[in-house]
Amino acid sequence: MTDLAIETAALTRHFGDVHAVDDLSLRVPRGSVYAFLGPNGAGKTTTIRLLLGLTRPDRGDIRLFGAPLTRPNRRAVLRRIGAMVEAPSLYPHLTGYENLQLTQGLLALRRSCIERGLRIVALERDAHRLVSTYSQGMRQRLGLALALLAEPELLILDEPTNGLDPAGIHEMRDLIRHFPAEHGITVFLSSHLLAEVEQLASHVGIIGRGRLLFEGTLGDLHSRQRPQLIVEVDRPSLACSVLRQAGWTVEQVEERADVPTLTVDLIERADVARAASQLVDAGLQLYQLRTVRPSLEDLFLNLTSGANLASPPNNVTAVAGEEVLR
Amino acid sequence: MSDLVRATQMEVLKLRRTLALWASLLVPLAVIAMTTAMNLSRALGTRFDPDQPNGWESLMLDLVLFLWCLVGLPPFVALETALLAELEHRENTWKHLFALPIPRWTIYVPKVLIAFVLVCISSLVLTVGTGLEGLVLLRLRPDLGLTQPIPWGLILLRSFSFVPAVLLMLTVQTWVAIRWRSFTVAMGLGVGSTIVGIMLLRSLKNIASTPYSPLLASIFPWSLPYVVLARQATTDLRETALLAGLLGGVVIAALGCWDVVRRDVA
Repeated sequence: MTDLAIETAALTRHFGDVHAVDDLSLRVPRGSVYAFLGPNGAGKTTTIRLLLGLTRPDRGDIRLFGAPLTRPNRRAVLRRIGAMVEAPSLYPHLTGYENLQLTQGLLALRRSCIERGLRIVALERDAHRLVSTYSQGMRQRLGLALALLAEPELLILDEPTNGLDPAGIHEMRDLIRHFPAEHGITVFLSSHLLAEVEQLASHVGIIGRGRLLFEGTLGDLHSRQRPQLIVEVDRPSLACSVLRQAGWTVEQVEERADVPTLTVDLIERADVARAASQLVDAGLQLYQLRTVRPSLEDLFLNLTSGANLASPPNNVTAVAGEEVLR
Repeated sequence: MSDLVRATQMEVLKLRRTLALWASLLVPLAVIAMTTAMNLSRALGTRFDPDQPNGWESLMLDLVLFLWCLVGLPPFVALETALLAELEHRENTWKHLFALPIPRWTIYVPKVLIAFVLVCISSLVLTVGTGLEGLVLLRLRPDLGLTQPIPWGLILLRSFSFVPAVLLMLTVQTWVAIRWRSFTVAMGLGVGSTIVGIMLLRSLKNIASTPYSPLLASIFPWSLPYVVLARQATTDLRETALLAGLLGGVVIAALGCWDVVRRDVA
């Protein structure tokens, strides 16, 4: 039995000239809460549609729980999955209960599945109200109940907190967080905000312009947060060349600020002392040296920024928490 | 088969509180109300059909079903199929349905079946409505020539005789309504085709001068039900229309289903 709930290999889907999903190879471990992150238009929804068989790939393979998603075994594979793609798919003229009853009837499930779903998302009291009278948060929760109806092993959620107020986001996050432990469900959820999923995800995949930029545990992502040295000197251009000659990577020089600063990538703590001594030896006046650690959000933005995507340095892409040469 | 039965049952559940169900009652009743008003305002002493002792046949063929099949049924079918598709288009529930572990064709075929059932309901309403209209006319306008008792069997037969011919129009409209999200496209097709159908049917009275139009009318999906009933049509034309409606409907249903289920779901 495979340990992966989702595995894709070289998954590709183009729409005309647009590479919506490009050579995507995902590995989602069972029992994880996998956050699939990327800016709007990065290819998250297309990937989810591919995983659910709603869109066919141009090339590449999809395996769900080890079984390939192909036409002959589409039903057997989908039976293990619950999904909510973008906004929940609801009939506003029906009650919450009737909405669940539709899917329960189609899948020939027990009636008790409806009560169970309503209980999980705490909608029992409002089950017999028309969905058209529901708030956005209630609609999202009903969508979640719909996805949970067939007691799936894998839950695929596309931006489940979209359109929710802070309280709704908190509620949704609380619900999702407990799925792996309490119900044995692997959760694959997409979002365009790292901060939103940081508290509940165990694994992260970052996508930009259809390509996978990073995949690994949240710990792997944290370990990529290398500290940086901020240097304030009187002559930043000279300082820049001194540090570069000494082998450091100087990321940015801000000449416009009142006090010009340089940002230097650090390799180890002793670099601080070495850099200081190099600058002083070169006759520069050193005003300030301090180390900073970029936030996960900075890291995410850096990974998904246009420049990074346009030309990955030395054709290097970060995958599985490590830099892999292609 | 059980998949199809379940999917059809669920399609019935979706009809709750919808205009689609009400329309199958109200649209034929509107035609009955209109013909009742027209009959009540006839000049005194005019009979439905002076050559026949029983005026029911004339009431059915020359008035109720004439109006229904010519200008009521085609827009009604367009409306019903568009409303059924709109149930899914509105919140894009297609993506939920197509991601379920059920055969994809069981999402399409029940739409056709339910639309057909709604047409049957409308025919039943026409049957009951015509009988009631007759009762009103017997009491208020005995001079029109209707006789007792009400020939329910004849009315029922006439109201359902054209129903198989509706299938082609219904399957074309269902495919268009599902394929294109816009309500206007489906309704535009229905209303536009109704006008074309009326023009083609005018030619039934002048077969000699327009020899090809009657044949066109007997294969044009939106005029088939009328051709099946028209007194002016030859038996050949009626049979052609009935066959074209039935067989064409099955073929278009199959093609529409094939087209929809193989498409990517947006």
